[in-house]
Amino acid sequence: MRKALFWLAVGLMVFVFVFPVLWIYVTALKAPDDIFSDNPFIFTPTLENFDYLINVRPAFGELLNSMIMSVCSTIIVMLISLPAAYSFARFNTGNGHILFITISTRMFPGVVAAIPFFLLFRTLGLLDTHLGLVLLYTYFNMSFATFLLYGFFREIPESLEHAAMLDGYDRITILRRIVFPLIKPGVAITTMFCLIWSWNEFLFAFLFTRRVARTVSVGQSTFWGSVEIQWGPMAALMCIAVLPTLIAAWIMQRHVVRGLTFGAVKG
Amino acid sequence: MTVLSLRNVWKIYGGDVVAVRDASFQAADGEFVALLGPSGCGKSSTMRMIAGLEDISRGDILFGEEVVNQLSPKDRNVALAFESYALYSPMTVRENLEFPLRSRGLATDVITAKVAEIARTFQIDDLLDRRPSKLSGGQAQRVSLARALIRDPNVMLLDEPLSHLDYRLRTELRVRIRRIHDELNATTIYVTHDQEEAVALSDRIIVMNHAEIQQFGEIETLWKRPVNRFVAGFLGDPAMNFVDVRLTDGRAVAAAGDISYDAGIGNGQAVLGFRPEEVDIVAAAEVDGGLKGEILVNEFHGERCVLTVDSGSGQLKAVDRGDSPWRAGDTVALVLRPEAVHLFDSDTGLAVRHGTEAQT
Repeated sequence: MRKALFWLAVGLMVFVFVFPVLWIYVTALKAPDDIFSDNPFIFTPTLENFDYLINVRPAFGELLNSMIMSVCSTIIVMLISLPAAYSFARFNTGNGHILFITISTRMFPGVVAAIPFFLLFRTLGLLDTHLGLVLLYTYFNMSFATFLLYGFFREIPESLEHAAMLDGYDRITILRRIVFPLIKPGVAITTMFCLIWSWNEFLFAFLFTRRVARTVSVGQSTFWGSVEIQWGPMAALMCIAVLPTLIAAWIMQRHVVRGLTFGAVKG
Repeated sequence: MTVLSLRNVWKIYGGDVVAVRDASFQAADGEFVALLGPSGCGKSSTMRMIAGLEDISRGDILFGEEVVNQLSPKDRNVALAFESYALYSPMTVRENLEFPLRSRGLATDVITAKVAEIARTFQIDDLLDRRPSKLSGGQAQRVSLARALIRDPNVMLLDEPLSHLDYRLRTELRVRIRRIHDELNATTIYVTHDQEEAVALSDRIIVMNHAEIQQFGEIETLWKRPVNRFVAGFLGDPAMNFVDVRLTDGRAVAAAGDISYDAGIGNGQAVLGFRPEEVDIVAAAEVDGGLKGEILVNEFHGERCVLTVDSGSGQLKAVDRGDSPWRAGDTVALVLRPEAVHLFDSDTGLAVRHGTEAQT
């Protein structure tokens, strides 16, 4: 009885999480007429939606744009946030004020900044450019990444570094040999969050790009036309768009579990 | 192996928080010195300054004749065993032990030999390929000590290395620590808040409180001639009793009773200190003098019993034999022996007299 309840609960949870994804994949393989047919599971699979994305309305550019934006912004974020977080955690740089200011950029809804950013970007000619969106994503992810990494660095006992100093090493070597191996799960989870966030980001991409730098999430919305909603191609593009995040989550899940429970057990 | 001296060393944080005030002492070559004090008394700061992990605000630290103030930790050749062990968790025990040797660029076969030797000394041969997370507390501490000592340090600093271990293991490891010290003959500073450890291990003890060194000497001196109330009260378990007294014509009068005591300093207020072990416990009706009170608790500790007596001068502790006849509710008198009584100034807390001799 207990077991049955357990599996029922698990089944329900899996259903809730997996069903929407499954539904997207099923829809992507349907011809337009089958999408609204009475029996959703009986249809002849077709690849015409994917063909549409390749030949009729190519989506490569948007996928590539999303890739550029998320990867570039994440790399920049990590390059800045890692040393910043280490400095906050170890030297209490700025007596907490700078850290607070960094985090405070997260305290208002992002959309509040949309208009000032829009005006600024228009003046600087950054609208609808890759650089523009990379900068924006860097801005939004940096505070979050810094704060997350700050927590991870704080978990590493300072005495480890002190011990290594007494053992005759300089700070750079200590960072490389002692600190980095310990912070790796934290770096992994932070990188993943940044990548996924910027990959999925819609609002700013929608406001700040038109054609050149249009990302996949914005591309998605173009199927919602004034005449009709192209469910099939939309689902097909979604199928592709969720892949990177799914893969990232799958690869990193080991680290994520470790990262999320970081510090729960003292090593 | 080095003589370690501190000369008027201060540590001041953020301009006004004094962690160490004017500390001066000298540990002889190969001496085992315990730095004893309650938490927050500045003993860890002192140790970290010796290690070079913190700047010295004022004063000098010398290894032998050389002032080391400006030397970085790696140039001081100091070994430090941390309270938290501080083992490098991504590395195996062997790599942990090799780590300090690699920084010196020693040849591989020398490193291997040294690791094997120190592993034997600490009996961690069979742990060499494990990761620190797979070690028990005692094993981790042994590895930590081994790593600290593997490179023949000038000065060995031990920062409460046993405080996270259980009692049995602590007593076992401290014997080993002392033995290793005797073998290596390294000048050692042992930081602890546990007087039992300090007494068991060290040649001399430094007692610290409120950022200041209170007294530095052999345990017998600290025990018999504490310079002030803090040292007197900090050493000993149960702690020394303190009773406010008025001195009048060869007697010391307390709220709980009076005793015959010639302070030799005239009349006035003072604080009388006596150790719980150094009183005679008699039925209150049988004697005139002594401090009278009612027994609250009689704790049985095996070979001895600790009595808590509620007297007019507060709660007093007294130690009786294991077959103590006293029970809660009995009224007793604690009879002090003048030669085992300490007298302290009631304002400054400084010792005035120990037994029948004046504090010099």
